[in-house]
Amino acid sequence: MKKIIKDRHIIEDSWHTLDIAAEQWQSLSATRSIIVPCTLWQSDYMALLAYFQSGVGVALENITEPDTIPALDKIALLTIDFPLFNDGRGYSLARILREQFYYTGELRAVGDVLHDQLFYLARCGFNAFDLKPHVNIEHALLAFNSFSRVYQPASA
Amino acid sequence: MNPSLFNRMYIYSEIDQTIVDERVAQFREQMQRFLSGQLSPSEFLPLRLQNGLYVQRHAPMLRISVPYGMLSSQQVRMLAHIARHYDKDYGHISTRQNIQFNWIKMEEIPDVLADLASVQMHGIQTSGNCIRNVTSDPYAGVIADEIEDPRLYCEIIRQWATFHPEFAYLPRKFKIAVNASTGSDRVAVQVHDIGVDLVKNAAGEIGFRVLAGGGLGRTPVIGAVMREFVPKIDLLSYLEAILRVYNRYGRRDNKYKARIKILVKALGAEVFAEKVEAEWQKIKEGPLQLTTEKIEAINHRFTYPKYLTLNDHTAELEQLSKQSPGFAHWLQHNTYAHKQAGYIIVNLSLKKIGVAPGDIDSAQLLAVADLADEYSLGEIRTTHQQNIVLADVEQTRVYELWQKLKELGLATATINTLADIICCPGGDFCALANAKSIPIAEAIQRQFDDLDYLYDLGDIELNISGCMNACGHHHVGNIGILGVDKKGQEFYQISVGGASGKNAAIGEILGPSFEQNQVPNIVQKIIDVYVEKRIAGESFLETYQRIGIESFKERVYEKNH
Repeated sequence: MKKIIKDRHIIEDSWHTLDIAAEQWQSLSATRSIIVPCTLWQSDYMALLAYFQSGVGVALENITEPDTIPALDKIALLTIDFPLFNDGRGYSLARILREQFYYTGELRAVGDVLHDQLFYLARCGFNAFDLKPHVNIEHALLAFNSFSRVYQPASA
Repeated sequence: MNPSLFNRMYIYSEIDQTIVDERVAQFREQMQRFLSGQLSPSEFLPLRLQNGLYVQRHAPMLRISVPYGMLSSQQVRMLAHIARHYDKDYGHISTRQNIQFNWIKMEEIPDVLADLASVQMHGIQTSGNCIRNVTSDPYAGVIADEIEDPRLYCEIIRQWATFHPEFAYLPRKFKIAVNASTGSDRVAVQVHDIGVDLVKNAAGEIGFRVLAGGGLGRTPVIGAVMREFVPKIDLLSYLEAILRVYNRYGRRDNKYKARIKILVKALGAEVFAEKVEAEWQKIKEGPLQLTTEKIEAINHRFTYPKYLTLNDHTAELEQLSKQSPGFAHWLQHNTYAHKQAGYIIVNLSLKKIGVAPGDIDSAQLLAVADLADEYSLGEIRTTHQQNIVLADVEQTRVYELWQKLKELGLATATINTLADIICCPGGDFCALANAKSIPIAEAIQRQFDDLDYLYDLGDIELNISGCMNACGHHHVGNIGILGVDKKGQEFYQISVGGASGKNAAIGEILGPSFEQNQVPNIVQKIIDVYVEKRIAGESFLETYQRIGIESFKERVYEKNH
């Protein structure tokens, strides 16, 4: 299983991302933890919640408008994709979800996620990080301690 | 540092110092990962940029932050040390009040940053797609027509913007300027991504008029007013709302269309302002809201000027002026009225002919530090016009100071004249430039080296940029010169009528561009038109505004001349 960082610890990732082109969600085991595209969640969230017993995750693009996500409080995991590490839209989206929509579940950065972005990502409310394969994950844990003091309020 | 020496410097708290020290350690570690191949060049790029490190034509360029243009004598001595020890003995003051060095070795940058941290300095966010150094009026705190000292608010903005976790990867760079003078604008607020003007409302409360979407570069735009009055306590939440809307909706597909001005134009200023307003309403009561106590806590970290009770010495200065025409010229052009009786503001010109505009060598830096200690409460300011200001000189000592400045080559009496050229480093140094700019500045200064003639022409702002990025602010020069590339040859496009002050305007391009050796002559023709057409007392800009561009066009493209 793939390793990710969650709450500043390295853990094995138990979530399965639904490949909508290849898989029917109804054919998957109901005990799996599954991440679905936001469009599927928007159309079928009640059916998904009824089917999967161990919670449903939703994959967001960084341009997703948070007020178009139904039943946010029922979502166990949100991922926000970073198509490029220097595309900063995901930072704003994360803060809005945390501070204005009061989302309290796991918020995971996925995509082009690198060592040197972790400090800022964590301050914007991300608590889980699916790093790019070439990044040294043990070393990356140090990035959360880059600064002991900060100037401005943020999500964390 | 000894705070009692300073006029009005912000002195680092333990938090400020910790953050800067940790930044040095962080960058050292990042540099190691880059040099050992764990970080790709593209991954390292924004990290080094956000520490001010560019890779330039000859060597890396390090841009050091000078928050709102304020330096202590001790900091200037450190800059001299850096120039001497790590560079080719000189530095360059940029139009955004920073200082940059062009010849520092890449692997020595962490050591330079550590040296800087020892005097409360750094290169944080002096480049990259983040919020850059906040600029302000070099006469802040010492002029009579000021709503309130803007530097307190600059510092509040600086702290908020420093390592802001949400805004480190904006679509493009982001520049904020703050002005508090009611009569003048020496910071060009209208051509910044955000311009902040201190204002007083009908109820007599002080707050901010906030503009957004101004900028130069390929698409010059005058900023639009977002809100006529933002109360003091809401300054940061309002700025955060603007940045958030920009970060979410600004274009990222094309770097030339990624500045906030393009978004403001695309949506329309009103619609953009509505989006900002909607976001602001959600966050204004939140933790970013300032309180009088929070503002006062930052204010408390500024040292205060210890002015003596003096009288004005106008008669004595007039007497000295009569005895020495050189002093008279300098006094008239290079000094400015101080709000405190008996004091005067002095500009040190970095526009001596033969020296690149804004360049200063280590011997001059050391001398300026000593002069600041001796004559101006140990404080030095850098200006948008790429000069230096000693803001608190006693009038009785200004003649003595002038004599010393003359010896140092810092008393060229051309402040605000045609020869006080704003100029980017251009093709001699910058990897982006299409054409050289420094030799153009020099050729124009040589063409107009008669002081009486220059003074007769009055205030004229001539700005030169070596490429469309417009670091030399050519769009807002009364005369603007832009280096362009035509099939590998360097050419110069000339515009007239730009202005950067309270009535900012984008200059109008005359027409086809000129070869390098034609430029001084073309500028001469433009000036000739002004001299012929002006009505008594009219400035170059006023004449242009009255007669329009046609007469200038006709003259410069006239045949048989």
